[in-house]
Amino acid sequence: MRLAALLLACLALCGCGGALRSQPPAPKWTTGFWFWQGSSASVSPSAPPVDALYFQAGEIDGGPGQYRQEWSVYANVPGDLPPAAEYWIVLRFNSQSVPDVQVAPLIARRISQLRAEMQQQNRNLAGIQLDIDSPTRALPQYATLLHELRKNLAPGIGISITALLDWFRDGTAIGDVIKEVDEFVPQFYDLNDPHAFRNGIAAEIDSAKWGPAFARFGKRFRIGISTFGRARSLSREDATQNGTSAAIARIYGDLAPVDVASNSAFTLRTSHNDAGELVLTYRATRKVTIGYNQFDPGEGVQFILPTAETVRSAVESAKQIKNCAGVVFFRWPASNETLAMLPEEVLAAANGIVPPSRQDTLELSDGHCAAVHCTDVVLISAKPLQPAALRYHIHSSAELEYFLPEDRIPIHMSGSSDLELSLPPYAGRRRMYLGRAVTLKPAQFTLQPTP
Amino acid sequence: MKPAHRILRYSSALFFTLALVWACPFDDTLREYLDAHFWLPFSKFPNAFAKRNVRRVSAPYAGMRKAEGTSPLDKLRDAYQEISQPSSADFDFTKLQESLTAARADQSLSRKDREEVDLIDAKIDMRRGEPDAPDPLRTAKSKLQQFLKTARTPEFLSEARGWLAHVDYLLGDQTAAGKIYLDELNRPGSNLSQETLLNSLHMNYGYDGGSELLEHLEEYFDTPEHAAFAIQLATNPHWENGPVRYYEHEPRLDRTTPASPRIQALLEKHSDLLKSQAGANALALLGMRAALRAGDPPAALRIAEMVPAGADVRTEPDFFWMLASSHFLSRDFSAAEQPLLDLFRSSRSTPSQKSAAAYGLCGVYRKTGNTIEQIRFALWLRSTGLATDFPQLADQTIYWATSGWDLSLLLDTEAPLEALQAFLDKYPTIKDVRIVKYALAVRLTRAERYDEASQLYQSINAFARAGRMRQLAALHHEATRTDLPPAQLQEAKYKVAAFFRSHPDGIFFNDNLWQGLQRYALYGDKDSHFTREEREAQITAERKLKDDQEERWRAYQILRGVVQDAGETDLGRKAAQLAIQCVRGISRERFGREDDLRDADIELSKWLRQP
Repeated sequence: MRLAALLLACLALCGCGGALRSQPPAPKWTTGFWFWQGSSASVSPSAPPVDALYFQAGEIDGGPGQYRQEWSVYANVPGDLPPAAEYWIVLRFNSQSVPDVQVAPLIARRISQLRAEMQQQNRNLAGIQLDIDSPTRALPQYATLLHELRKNLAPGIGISITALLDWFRDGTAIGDVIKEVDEFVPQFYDLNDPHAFRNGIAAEIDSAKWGPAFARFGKRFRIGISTFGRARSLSREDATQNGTSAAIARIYGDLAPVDVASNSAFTLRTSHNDAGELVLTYRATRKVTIGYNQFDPGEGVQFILPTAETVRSAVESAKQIKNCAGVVFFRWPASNETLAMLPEEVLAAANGIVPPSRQDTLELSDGHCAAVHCTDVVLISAKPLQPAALRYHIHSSAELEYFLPEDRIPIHMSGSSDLELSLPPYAGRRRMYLGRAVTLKPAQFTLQPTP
Repeated sequence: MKPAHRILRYSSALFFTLALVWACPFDDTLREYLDAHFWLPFSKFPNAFAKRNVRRVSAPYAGMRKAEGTSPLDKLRDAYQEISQPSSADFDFTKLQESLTAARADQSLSRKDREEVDLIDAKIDMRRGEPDAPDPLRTAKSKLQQFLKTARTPEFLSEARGWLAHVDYLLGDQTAAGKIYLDELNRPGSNLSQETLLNSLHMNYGYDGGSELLEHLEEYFDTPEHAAFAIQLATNPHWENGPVRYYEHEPRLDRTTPASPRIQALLEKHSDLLKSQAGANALALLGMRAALRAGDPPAALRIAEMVPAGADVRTEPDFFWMLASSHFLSRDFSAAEQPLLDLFRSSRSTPSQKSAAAYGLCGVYRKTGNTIEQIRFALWLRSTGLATDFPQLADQTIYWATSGWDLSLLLDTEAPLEALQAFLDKYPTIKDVRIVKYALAVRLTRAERYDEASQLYQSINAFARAGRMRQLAALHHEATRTDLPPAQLQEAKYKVAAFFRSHPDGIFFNDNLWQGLQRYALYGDKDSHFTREEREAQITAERKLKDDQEERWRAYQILRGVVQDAGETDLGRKAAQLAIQCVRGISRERFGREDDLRDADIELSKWLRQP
């Protein structure tokens, strides 16, 4: 027994010694964003350069069962990329499978062309990232594809992959895959949920569990963290089964909380899910139609939203993972997107600081009326998802002939030169078109929050 | 028919209908004259700068004369003609070069022949070059410049200038290329066709020359013609939904580029360039254009006032239009009338400019309350402007509502009935007067003046409606008699209502105006171009139109009265049942009043169910 203990101790020491000898230096911590199709640099024009920007340049297309059987690669460098220390070209494959190995030279050729383009733009291209949701059983094919890609790719172009957490369970070929890449980015959001994300978007980052699983390959890895929100439909069954109905939820791409919050047919319940995301549940109390969406009593919409706390917590957890090289946030918002956090909000949350305060302002533009003065009035909201109801008083320097409010915007004339805007909790939009003011004389408009 | 075949047939019909709707979206614009975009200065394209009656020659280009012998020059011509069109990348120039050398060595060549050889030499280099491989282009440019210094043959000189511009264009020098093309456009004796030059200018500048023109604007202030051209193009108006969308693929100014202040500064700096009579004219037009582009109509008016009364520029279509624009945008609507009439009547106006003037006059007369003239010009647009003019509108930054809805609304509800009559008295034989007569007949019908309506329909050969009006006149006569006992009177009213109900869209609805699209034109409550008073009047007028033209609604109102007066009798119940059918048959989307219709349905249904 003593001998066994001694041997064990020796073995442990040897192991430690080996580990100490091969221990790479702790990687420099980096913060990056995914810049997806629809993302817009203009949402945050003054944001400082990020460490890494993974921009979706295009898609891999083709294969059995697809519209085009022939393999092809469509990719372009977007015109308005935010500044970054390094860029990664992301190619997405939308099928739940692995593209045929014959696509590798096509990818390499296109990347070579895009690299030349980026060199002309003085952008530092670090490499290519493949975003392929390979079934775990298909990882060997994925490894083959990556091997072939490496052979075709010009030297100096790194290979990164996004990674599903399921790949890291025991008995998979994830090691073969990671052997072929320079970096992998496990995604801690939108885990396998066939019923439209009813459990939220973000996933808990358990550093004790995932640290060893990722570090064992000796490759650089960064952690993918969600900073976007989503609106999903709620069935009547969801109400009785606490949101766990088997009904497939519908995702609304065009709804923001203001669209339902300002409608008296809905009631609001707020909560937080396991990942700490804010959950706003609006249920219809009577039959109601919003845009093209019809709701019967009991049906509703649920908004799942990231918060500064969820981001900070996720980053802290990622930092606990040994040898983790940083985080990548999904995603840089689209213009006028309310449900995704602004880059500066994300970065402030990641660093545990208060983001620079912004004031609510009005954006005014001429409506080009020939015989009257018409002005389009837009509220630029500093914090669109305030938990409290907000009221604003808008004053016009000239008497208003009339005001044409935008649909579903709770604004009305409260005097001959005044408008009153009342926003229920969480009902803001980052950029909210309020309507058009018509005057006989040119007018200036001022915005005043009211208690 | 088998169900599957039926489904296939219906699906095909649906598919083709949707495809048609998608492919041919209807024009839904209305009251464009109340939008500032309508009053933008006219767009300018290179053809506006081409003088008339410029004498040109049409001599073969160097190397393009048909070879008639075997002399070295003939061989060179033969060889060159193989690459006279853009050649493939793998063309072997060696043989061509040998032919060139042989031709140069021929001592028997005349001076003109030698010039032809020199010009072919430059053209060979030009054909070898590409924007991505510019060295041969630079060599060609140098040879062409040298050629222009030494050659004397006019047609070759003209040709060489054209190729020099082409090389500049390929090398990305918009300014150099453009100036040459522009000079050549109006140069007597040019060997370049007007069509070629206009195409080249269009390729070089696109819609407005883009940022490069703006960047190099001052370089155009070497001659009045260059300056005028550059400024007019650089101030071409932008209109997101207007005709300029056809040019989206071509270089265009950034919408936010502050072009106008810079242009105004340049005009002041180079005012000496525009001191001549022609120059002063150009300066006035350019100044007005820049002011309007900058959104400063009063400034444009001040410039217009400075132009002497007898100056030629005062008869320019552009001057008329910009003067009218400035007045209208300054809310002096009546002052815009005369320049628009001048533009409309001017023999120098193009058809599309006349259309713009006519539509602008519709706006002026709407604002000044001259309904008769408003109808006149709206009718002219429908009968003449639209028919002859539409294809050319894309060449102007003019947009008027080709929907024709302005006229339709005017005739159907906006113009008082008396105004329609007064119009017919004043213009009894005007083209398409039948449209107005038909509209008046419909309006008389809505006012229950069925006999007059019948006669008017008869006079324009609308026999079906005329007959219907006669029937209706008789029914109406019965229903308004004062000597009938109540039961008979109620029965007579019921018959009138039943007649209405059995002729949906055939009595009060004007089926001659809308082509099924009326509901899209009735959006006064959403239109922000009105004053408060105008808006309220428009909303009222549109509501009244919807009520007046809906046969079932009018039938319901009569029947409701019958139900109330007849009470629980057979006639009362019959009337209630028919009234319910009327209410339920009304298209909510077109008619509105959802709450009223629902309440009416409930009220009548309850009444019928009562014991």
